Amino acid sequence: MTPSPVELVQISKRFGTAQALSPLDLRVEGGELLALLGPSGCGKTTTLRILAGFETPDTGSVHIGGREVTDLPPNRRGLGMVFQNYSLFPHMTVGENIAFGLKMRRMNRSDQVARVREMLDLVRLAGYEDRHIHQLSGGQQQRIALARALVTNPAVLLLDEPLGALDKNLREGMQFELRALQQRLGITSLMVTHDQEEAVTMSDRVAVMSQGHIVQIGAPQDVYARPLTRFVSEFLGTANIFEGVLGADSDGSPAVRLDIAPDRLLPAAPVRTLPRHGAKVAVAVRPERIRLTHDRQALAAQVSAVIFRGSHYAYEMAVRGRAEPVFVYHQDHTPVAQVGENVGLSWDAESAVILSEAAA
Amino acid sequence: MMASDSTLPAKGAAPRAAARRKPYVLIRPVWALPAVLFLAMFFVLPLVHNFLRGFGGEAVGQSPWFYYAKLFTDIYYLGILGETLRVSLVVTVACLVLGYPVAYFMVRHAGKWNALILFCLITPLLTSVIMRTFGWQVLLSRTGLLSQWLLSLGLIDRPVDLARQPIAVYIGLVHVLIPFMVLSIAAVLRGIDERLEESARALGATKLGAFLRITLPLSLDGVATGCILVFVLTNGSFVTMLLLGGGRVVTLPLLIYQQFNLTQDTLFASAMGNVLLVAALICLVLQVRFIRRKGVKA
Amino acid sequence: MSRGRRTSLEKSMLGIYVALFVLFIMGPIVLVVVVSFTSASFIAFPIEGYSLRWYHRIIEYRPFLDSLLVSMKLAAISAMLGVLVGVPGALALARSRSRLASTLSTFLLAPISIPAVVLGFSLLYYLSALIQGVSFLSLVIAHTVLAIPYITRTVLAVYRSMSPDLEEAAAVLGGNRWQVLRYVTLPQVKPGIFAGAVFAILTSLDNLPISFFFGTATTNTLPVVMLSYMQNQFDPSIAAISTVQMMISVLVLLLVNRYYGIAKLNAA
Repeated sequence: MTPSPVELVQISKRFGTAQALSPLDLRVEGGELLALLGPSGCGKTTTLRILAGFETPDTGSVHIGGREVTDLPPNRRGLGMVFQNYSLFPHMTVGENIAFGLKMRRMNRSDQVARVREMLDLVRLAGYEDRHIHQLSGGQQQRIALARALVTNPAVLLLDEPLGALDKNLREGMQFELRALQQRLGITSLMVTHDQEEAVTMSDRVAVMSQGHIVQIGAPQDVYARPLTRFVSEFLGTANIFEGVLGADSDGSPAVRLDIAPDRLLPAAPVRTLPRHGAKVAVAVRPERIRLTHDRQALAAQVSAVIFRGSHYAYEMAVRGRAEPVFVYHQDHTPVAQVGENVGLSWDAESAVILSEAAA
Repeated sequence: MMASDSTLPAKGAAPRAAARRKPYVLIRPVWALPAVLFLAMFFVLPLVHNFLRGFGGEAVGQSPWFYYAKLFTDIYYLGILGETLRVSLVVTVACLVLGYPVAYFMVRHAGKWNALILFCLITPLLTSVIMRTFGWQVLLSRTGLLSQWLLSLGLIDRPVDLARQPIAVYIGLVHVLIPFMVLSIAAVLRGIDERLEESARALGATKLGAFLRITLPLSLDGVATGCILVFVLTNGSFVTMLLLGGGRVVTLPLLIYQQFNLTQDTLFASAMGNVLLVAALICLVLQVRFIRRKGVKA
Repeated sequence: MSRGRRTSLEKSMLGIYVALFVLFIMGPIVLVVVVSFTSASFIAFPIEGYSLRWYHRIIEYRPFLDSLLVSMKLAAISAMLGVLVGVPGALALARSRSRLASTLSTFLLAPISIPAVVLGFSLLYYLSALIQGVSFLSLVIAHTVLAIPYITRTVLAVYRSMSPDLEEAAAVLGGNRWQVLRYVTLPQVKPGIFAGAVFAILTSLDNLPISFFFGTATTNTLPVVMLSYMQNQFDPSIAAISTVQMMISVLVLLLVNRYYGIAKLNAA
């Protein structure tokens, strides 16, 4: 089955006086898993529901596999969907739940039984046909929900915070399993989540949304390492944001004079276009990209706290002129600095992203 | 590596306004139409019809307000209006005072007895009003159980007929209506955290004080609901007054029944019915206001 | 803490009060059942002997049996009509947040808040003007007006407590509106429908203020017949027929609960 791309063209939606989605364009390539990531109220769920057909857009059109489906009801769009709380039918058995989609297509009984067995094998719950929903654990319910969604070979799979109801340990395992299944089947998928770790782990591309707009879209590594705006840099991971003025260093590469340390030039690089020389800029630096040195040209700081986080150490650095601490992560089993120590913070140009002026 | 663009190139088509796009709704609002129409035809219209009939004084050569005037100026009818109000108020207060402790016990102390008490509250609703009223007749009449007991205990020397005394009506009404009060209060009490009272006691209040200052005010919604319910139901009762009390307690519904049965003065009965209706509507409005405050809507 | 002792004092005092209360509530009912088995010709205490003669009387006295059948038919038919009309209404209004929807919901629930005497009286004159003469049909219409609120109330409550996700899941899986209703909505809402229907049946069986106005020689309901009997005679046959009526109500409640689990609902 050739994977179908999904396209939302100029979709907007208003609820009463609130503009939930400003005209938005989105294309999900055939076979990819795209994650819509953002805080509550950003419009990601509305986008999903418009694609599913439960909300009608005020403007724009929806296309699945090249076919326009905007005027089709949800049951005619050829989708599969996994809901946040699984929405398994409590008055039916596992087998009946999974077979539901087949029943709606009037597949005959014996074919249904065979297909249900196939799906249960796929999610590694063979033999569960006659169990009742309340007998299942959370993880099992999740897999049944997935089996049910996939049984009709839908063109597109929709996932609404699919792992939200699971506890942490289960969640990680399910992230890999879900992703592996999606890739194996090659099914175009759109996932909505507010958990950035989940988005980054599972998706081919992630679209960060805020207040009805897509702020940035791209491969997780790109969006993480090169955020366009303050909002993206702070929503995806932790970021240290510095204000300063753009300059250039001795060989002409971009550098920044930070407001808190105007006597030095620190390396930085833009995501896209370089602002003009002398412009006020904001720079985002990830904590794990900051190195501790004794170089006199580095940013002077004093260690104010050392926190053990299991897989890494987090250091809070007090920098003169700045109220909030600068965070530095260092992956090691022993701390590399003590509280009260004076250190220098440095980074390379690639690690300091000059953020676009466009809104946070 | 270049970062991806955050917007797609426009496809050349401007945003298309969805002029006639209907939202996806599972159950269209029009399905409520049969119920609404049915009630409009057989609930609203009859009452409106009756409302107009009550102004039919011209049929007997008087002003349209004739029957209402009669109702509100004639001493006898004023007395009945007063009696209706009095009976409703007394029964409501009695149900509240007698029923609150039961609700409190059900919610706070009952544990396994809860089911039994609930059963005892629901069972009367499975029996007809006539059965229950008959039961009081059997208990309180001259040849009834109470009389026989008192006689055999030597407390009285002649059989006493309580069934024909007004007190029997009140007893009968309280008997029928107190389950509604208890259930209304219990429903609200269930939602009040016991620990609130306990914190008050920890801060020095007496048990009674904590109850009066904390629990009682929080349960007022249930109290109000129960009171309105009992008040309206008492307003509409007439079987109890018919069978008990020896005809000494005459309220508006009983009068309507009598007007219909005996005098056939149906226009007058319509007017009386309207007065009852207005009283009930006022209570309904009060009730809706209270329930909205609690946010019962899902 | 002395709280344990003080609480148990309060508990025992309240407990005694509640025990008396239970006695108060159940007493007259139990008494009637006991009296129905007396062998005497009139109600007198103490009860000398026990027999089933008054139950035989029910069968002999035709109006009792006939009116019982009329009442049962009436209850069943009006409950069914109430379901037919009320369930779609409740489903349509339950999840809408518009002012109109909540007004209509209140409207559908209104008939039980109106004194039945007024409604019965009004319906009599209105229906007489509409349809020539009173009849079983008028009774059915009147009782259906009362059945609708009970059914609407429980269905509203149950449907609102159900997650809309279930129906959405069914839709995405390919179910059109009818299929979703048939396979998901109605099975979930069924306990609510039956709980409401049971309420409607029980109140219909007991209804006096409305049925009273529609009495004719052939269409009297049981409560009406019992009332007129009681105004002339005071004998244990009332006790017997009341007990039979109570048994029927209990049976209806138990059967419906067994098959449709309505006891799980907390419908007030």
